[in-house]
Amino acid sequence: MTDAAIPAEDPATPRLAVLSVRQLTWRKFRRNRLAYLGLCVLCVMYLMAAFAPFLAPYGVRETHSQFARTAPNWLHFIDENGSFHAVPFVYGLRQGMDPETFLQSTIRVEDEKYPLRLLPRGEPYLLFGLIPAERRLFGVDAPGKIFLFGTDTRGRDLFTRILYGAQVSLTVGLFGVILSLVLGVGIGLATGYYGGWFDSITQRVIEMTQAFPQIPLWLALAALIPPTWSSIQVYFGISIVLSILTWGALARQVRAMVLSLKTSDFVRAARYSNASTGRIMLRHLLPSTFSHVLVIATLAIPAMILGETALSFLGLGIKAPMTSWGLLLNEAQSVQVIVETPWLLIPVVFVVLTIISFNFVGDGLRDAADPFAR
Amino acid sequence: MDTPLVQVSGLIAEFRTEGGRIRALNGIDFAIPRGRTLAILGESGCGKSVTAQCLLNLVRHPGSITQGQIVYHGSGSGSGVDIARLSPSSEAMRRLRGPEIAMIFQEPMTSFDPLFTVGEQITEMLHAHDHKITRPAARAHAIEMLRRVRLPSPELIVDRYPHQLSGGMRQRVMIALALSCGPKLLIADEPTTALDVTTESQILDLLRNLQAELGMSIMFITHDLGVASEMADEVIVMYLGYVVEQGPADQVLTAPHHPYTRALLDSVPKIDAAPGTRLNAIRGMVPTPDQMPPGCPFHTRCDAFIAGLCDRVLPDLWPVGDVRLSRCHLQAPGRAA
Amino acid sequence: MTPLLDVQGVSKTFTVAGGLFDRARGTVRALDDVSFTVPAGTTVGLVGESGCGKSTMGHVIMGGLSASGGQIMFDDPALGLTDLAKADEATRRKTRLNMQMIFQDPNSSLNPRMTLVDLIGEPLVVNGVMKGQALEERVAELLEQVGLSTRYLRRYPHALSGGQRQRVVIARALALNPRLVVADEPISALDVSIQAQTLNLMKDLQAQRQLTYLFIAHDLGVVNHFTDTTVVMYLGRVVETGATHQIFRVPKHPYAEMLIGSVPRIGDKGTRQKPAVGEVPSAMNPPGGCHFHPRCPYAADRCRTEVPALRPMGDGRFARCHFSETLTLAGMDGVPATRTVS
Repeated sequence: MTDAAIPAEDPATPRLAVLSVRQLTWRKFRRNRLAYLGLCVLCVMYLMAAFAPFLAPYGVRETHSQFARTAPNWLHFIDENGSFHAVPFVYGLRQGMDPETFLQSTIRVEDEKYPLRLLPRGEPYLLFGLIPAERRLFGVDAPGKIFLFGTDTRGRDLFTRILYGAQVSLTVGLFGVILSLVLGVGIGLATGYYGGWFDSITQRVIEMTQAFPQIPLWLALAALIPPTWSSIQVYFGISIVLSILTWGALARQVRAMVLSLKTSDFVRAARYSNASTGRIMLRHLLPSTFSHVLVIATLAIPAMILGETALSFLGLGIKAPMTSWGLLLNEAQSVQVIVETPWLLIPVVFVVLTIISFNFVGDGLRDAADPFAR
Repeated sequence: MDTPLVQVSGLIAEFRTEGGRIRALNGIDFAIPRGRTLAILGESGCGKSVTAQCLLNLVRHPGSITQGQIVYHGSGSGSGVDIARLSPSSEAMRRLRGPEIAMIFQEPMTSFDPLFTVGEQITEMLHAHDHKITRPAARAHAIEMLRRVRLPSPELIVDRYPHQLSGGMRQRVMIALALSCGPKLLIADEPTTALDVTTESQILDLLRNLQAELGMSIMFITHDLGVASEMADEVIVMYLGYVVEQGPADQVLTAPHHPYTRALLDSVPKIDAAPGTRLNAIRGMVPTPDQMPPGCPFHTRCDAFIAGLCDRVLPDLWPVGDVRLSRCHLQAPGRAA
Repeated sequence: MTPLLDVQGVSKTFTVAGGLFDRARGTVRALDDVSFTVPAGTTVGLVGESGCGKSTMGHVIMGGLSASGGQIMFDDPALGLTDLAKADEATRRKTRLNMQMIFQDPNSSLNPRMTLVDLIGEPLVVNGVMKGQALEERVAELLEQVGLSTRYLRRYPHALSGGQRQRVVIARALALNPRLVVADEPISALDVSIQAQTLNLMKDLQAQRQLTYLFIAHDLGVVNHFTDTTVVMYLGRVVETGATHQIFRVPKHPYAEMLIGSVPRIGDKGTRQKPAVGEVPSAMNPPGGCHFHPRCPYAADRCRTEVPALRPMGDGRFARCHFSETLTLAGMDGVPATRTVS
């Protein structure tokens, strides 16, 4: 009966045989160095955002009015005389007349040195919005100021604001994508499987939304958000606006996959086993679209981040007291700013870094998604 | 007439994979005679496709030829050129592919570019090997090739796209394309496996007729014993990267020496066998190349297995009689068969 | 004795869409007046070349495609004689407990993301037959019956070889203990040395479980070994039916003769006279009258205009040719035919 002898399990048999598709995908992903690097960068970014209050030396609304438009006040190891300090320090600052330009500006006082302090007490905050805490990672004693990225026009520490801004910029994209995912995958599955007039109408609707130029539509929709809404409501409003345009592309991709998978043998086999339509969609079709959907989602997030950045940059997005990288850039809109206080453009670096990382991760995922491809 | 067209000796091809280096070919030797057909018979994993790739020096990464020689005696007298020593993208190699050695594949649909007509694909090949050929001359040559492969209305077919032709017609076009530069060796990698039996019969007839007309050699790769029997003068049987049997086709396939060939013949369902008889299946499965059995590669499934010998010592490819070779301890010299 | 499956005059037409608004552009008669019977406990082979409609017939029987006409009488143990062609979805679901399908390509018919126990157990779960521990035990039993170690229960299909995957497909088909198994080219995608193993397995299972097979294939050698009766199809029509060994020895239809003559044989040195074959016509525009007449060496004027009926030849054989009674056709042994056409 069993004329096929099964070879005894050889301890040297590659364990590849035992891994699930998900594990195989992860292995392939890890071998792509750029993608892995991108993933690490993103992890750092999101951790930064999560621990923002802890990492920031100052509170988000804390202003240092005498020190508006101050250039970055770095940590130094070697002082003006050339001697080395084990504990890095910042120089003191005071307002004064710049001897060269005769303009009012902040001058470095080289006699005053404020060493770095770890875990000092600062303004109290709520970590993750839940846990009350007082200590921050680093800071300097008063009246020293540590402005790693300088201050803005109102004297707020940019480094702090960038950290807090990460919270909004990095999550608006996520939330918008999740919305798109749910809508897009659900509609894509249904239209792909059932077809017919439902499919035709949906496709025309998607085509119409895709035909609109993206930014003007976003602007128009963002302008619809009532100015009386609170910061949080505006945040969710922007998420919805961003996702309105992306669900269509996702739905079309999913629909295309479902169309081709619909006639494949394993779906037929499930039907011949009397599997219900729901089971076929959830158990057979949906998992097969996962890899593609994940890639599209990962590549859609940067678009959303850029969208939010653009909207906030133009003043139509996030409202104070929330802050985002785009809103920070809003204050850096004029040539004068760029010339006089170029450090206000630092948020651009973060935006670019985040987007590039997402793109690397998305590309890596796409390559890894078919672990059986030669 | 005496020197074979191609002489392969000690060919070893390896693949670098996650699990280490895997040998796809373990030192194979064979010769392709002039104007005749050599069939390579074997199942998937035996290395027959890799052999064809080696001859064209197109082994796909991460594989490579690591040892051995492939000497092509195209010009007749000279010492011939060792293909294994040439770089795959060298000018010398490109001069061989097409005008000297050509290949046809299993899937005619995926072997053509769907965006170009059949004629354009043939003239592209002609132009690649003869830059001075004029457009009308190339077109005329293409039509002539299509006529040669017995396609009806070749002057119409030359302007058709691949998807407009049936599977059998596409395969004929592929043959026309391969022969357009007049090669001395045609490598056919399972050209009829994807075709219906009636179409297969036509293509095999066509190949035989073309061979008689053009005097070219054919290296025919297949897993079908009937097809090998019909087409081949010489046959080599491969298993797990080794040649296990070699000889004239009519002898090997009717009176095999090697247990694998014998078992294969027994297990294949034949149309002229008594109906309803139970097939003698070969027990076990083909080991994966990274799990190569010690000693003789076939011993794990062999009915004539000799413990202590077959699982320790790899048999040589010993001669049996004048024209046959077999890699089995049962045919070792000095041992009664 | 009521046959387990009695196909009577089944036809299936596809409309080919195209043009600007997907208008119907033409029709393909994939099945045209197909009739044959499948007696219980036997194996019936359905052979033909690509485009003949044999796979379509398999899916029409299983209910994946609906028939455009005709009857498919299935002797269901629970429901009695049921016409599958006119059955509604609810009835279909009940009949599927007694008939299952084995697919051709084990790579595409097994969901690569499901473990073997999920795959083989799916028919049992979906039909509410059993679940949990009992399900696992039953799946383990099925694995053993198809010669696979139960160690593979929680593995994924990619952990197995092609032949082993096909065994999983077979195990899944047997999970519900069907009476009828429609096997759509079950060994075509397998290696030569594995084909024999799989065929032997299918034969053993048939004896153990009193299965009936409808064996769809294009390889005549396999059909010779495995089937009791054969149905030969060409361009959607049945052209010959009868006991397998009789058809192969003495065919009654010129197409059957052509098929048999074209098969390459071992020991052949290419000197055997093979039949002239011609080109396969388009399915959308089949020749009028007898579909086969443009390629038939015995065709007469009548063949161009008059569709021959599927007529009894005695001994349970049928052939769709105007001249079956008078033609002597070459079978496997190559008896030359004499052209005696009035």
